[in-house]
Amino acid sequence: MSATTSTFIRVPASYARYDVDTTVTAGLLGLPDGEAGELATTHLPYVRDPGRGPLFDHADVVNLALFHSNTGCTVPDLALRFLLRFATAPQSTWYEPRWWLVRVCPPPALLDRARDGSAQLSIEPADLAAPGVVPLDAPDAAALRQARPTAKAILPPGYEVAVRITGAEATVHDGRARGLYQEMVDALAGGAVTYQSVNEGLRARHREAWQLGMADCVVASRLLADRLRDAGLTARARRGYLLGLVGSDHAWCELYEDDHWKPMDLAFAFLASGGSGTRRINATPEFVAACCGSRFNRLLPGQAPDALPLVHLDGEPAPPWLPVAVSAHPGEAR
Amino acid sequence: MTIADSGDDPADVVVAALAAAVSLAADQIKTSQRLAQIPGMESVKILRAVVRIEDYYHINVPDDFLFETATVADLIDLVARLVKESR
Repeated sequence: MSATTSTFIRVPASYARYDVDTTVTAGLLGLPDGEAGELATTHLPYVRDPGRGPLFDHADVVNLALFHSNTGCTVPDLALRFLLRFATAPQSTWYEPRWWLVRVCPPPALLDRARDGSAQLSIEPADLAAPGVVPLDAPDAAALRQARPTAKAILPPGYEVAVRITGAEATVHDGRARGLYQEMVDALAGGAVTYQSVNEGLRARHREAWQLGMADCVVASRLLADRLRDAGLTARARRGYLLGLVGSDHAWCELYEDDHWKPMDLAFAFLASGGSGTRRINATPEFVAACCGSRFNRLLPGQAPDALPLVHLDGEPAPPWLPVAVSAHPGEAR
Repeated sequence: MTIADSGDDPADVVVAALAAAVSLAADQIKTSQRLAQIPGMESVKILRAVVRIEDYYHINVPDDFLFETATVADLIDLVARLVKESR
């Protein structure tokens, strides 16, 4: 892995949460502890803890993995490569009904703390009333579960849901909405704003993050929703899961138009049209167009408003280095 | 044996990639094993192995296949078919 210092924006110290040690860093970078620690201390800001050694901000480490890996095998690289593979599949597969068994599992370290009462852990439930989302009845859910006989039981507040998700092809017609959307896609594609991992502190200050020149799906969707509402339109930011081989937290904006909530996905549009290197999807123009109005059959929204975090620990967003595992197993109902 | 010197036989390439992902010798990978049951295997390591196989042959393994509880032999068969179709 080679590294330079100019391609992503480090989290300013005033917003950073330096709590990621070299072991977690090594896992994200796919390197041995010593090598990862040396690389990270060379290129990232950190604080030194007497017991744990250097501690980094999680977003900085993820960005180091995404921007400077030449292996394509870091955890963020893998997530991007496999989660967005559907974009290169035939168009009909973006919308056709798809059955999913979704399992949201807190990591043991968080579960232990929740179960012994030393911490309060909460996970936003899936929005089973969202457009296109239909919870399966018990026999259909059981049929999906039979395909995964080895899956372990999930302890609360983790959960499992069996759903059918159907996408919908649509387009946003409002010229103001399309203009604001395209302006933001262009800012990302042109490099005025860098699409990168952003920590939760800055996601909460999405306007400031954008001004600092950084955005991720949460920042972009919140800001677009703000701008659409400022223009007098009805819009909201949503956050949920992008379902795939490894499920992932994802956020998008929705515009209410023609009696429907129409997704406007800046992150997908950027990655499909302007991303670079391993962050580019080899998608068609049809996919880029679909990102402005169409609903894909792989997105399961959570119930949290305004794209707020899906997992909280003691009332605060849970540490990203203790991620809730999301597995999504597609299948056929009876 | 690494994937780089495993030749063009999909069986050798797949086994080498899986073995490398879990730091085992190739002869410790049994073709009858389910991918998830290879000692030390976890989802990220399966993906790393698949990336190496895909990049080696310039193919894409359909993700619906990877969702299934596939065996090493199933993956070898699929890769062999994809390689044949790509040529």
